[in-house]
Amino acid sequence: MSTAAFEFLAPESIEEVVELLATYGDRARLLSGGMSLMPIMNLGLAEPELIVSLNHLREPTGIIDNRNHIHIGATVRHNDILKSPVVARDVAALTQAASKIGDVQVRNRGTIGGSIAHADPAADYTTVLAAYDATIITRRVAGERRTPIRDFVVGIMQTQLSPDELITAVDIPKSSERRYSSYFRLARVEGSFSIVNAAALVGTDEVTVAMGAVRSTPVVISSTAPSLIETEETLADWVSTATSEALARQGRPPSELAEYKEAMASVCGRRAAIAALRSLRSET
Amino acid sequence: MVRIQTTMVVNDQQQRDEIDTRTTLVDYLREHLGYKSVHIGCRTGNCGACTVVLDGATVKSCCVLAADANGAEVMTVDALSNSPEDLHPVQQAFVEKQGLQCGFCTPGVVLSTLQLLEESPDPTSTEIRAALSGNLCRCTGYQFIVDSVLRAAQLSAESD
Repeated sequence: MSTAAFEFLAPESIEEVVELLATYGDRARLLSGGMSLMPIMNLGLAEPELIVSLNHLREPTGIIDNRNHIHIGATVRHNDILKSPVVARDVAALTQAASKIGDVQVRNRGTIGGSIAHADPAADYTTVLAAYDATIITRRVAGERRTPIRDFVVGIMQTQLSPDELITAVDIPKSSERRYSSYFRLARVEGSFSIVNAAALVGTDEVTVAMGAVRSTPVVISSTAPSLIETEETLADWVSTATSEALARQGRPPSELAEYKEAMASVCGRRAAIAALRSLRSET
Repeated sequence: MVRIQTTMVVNDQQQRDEIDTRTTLVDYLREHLGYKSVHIGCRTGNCGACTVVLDGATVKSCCVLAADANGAEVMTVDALSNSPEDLHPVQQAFVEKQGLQCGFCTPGVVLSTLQLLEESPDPTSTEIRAALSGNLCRCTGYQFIVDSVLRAAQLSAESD
């Protein structure tokens, strides 16, 4: 059991949530799926004064197929993303990422908003969202703001989210031209966090690959050169070169694992890109 | 200490309590209601010994606040049968195939199996291993558990 006593509130509206956050700031913690917060509290590593549960909101949430975006409410659970035909059709890499998160019980409870807010560099969704250049929608009393995921995550478990603000949804852009995506990760065993991971988005006009856990925030490479997808070899060569360049630009962090992670990020990036290219070839 | 009122249905029985806000669902089920079948292994969401069914989906009850389960329906393995002579097909399969040694993980494994068979009545060994990856067993090496789940699928199909 958590060591310090806390108040527990379960508001039914986002308005109530943002008002509580405006009052309590960082003395409050939002509880969504609890798959990170609960272990942290059970270990005595977080002692909030107030827990605000997002599990009793009355507002409708879910996965909405808009004209330009796939809109996913923050409290949508991993299992609902995993089973969504809309996500599988338009954001295949997100379905694949959801399938790798924890285990059945974790996927039944954990939410996409919670995962994004926690900003563990080894988390699965953020890499995919970075590849798609998704937008994080947040709310506070002052109103709503929209932040690209690539700017939203600023460091290891650090985001632009202010203490009086919550994530309400994520918008994943659709493109007029069909694009194919894939997710690949390296992990010790099924259910454990990634050592490194990568998501690739391949279309006939643009290729983007994001790699997670190799730096504190996702590393994104992108190109519009049509020759890239001529063969799997040209695509793999570009991923290797562009990854090396991007990682070199950022400098290597002082970790014994850094060199290994760089090599494996490149491998994951190549495999994700080739898998996405194969999806494109099989459907066109 | 901060106290809070909770109401939930546990194994078809209405429960109303006033509890410490810090109480996790596993502690509520064990210490307040006496469901000692819900085991505590890690308290960090890794081992799955505390698995229960919350509003129709398996969860690790060490990582759910009892206060957050207010208004919910909870099922523990106790709901599956009333006596050793009248076991649920999943329980019967674990007995037949000896899908346990010390038995500490078994209540959680049985509930995860139940959920798997609801969604996939005729699972492959690979599906079974994936579906049970949230339940750690330190004794069996899992093979007898997989055999038990395969048998459970057979028994469940026969009893339908």
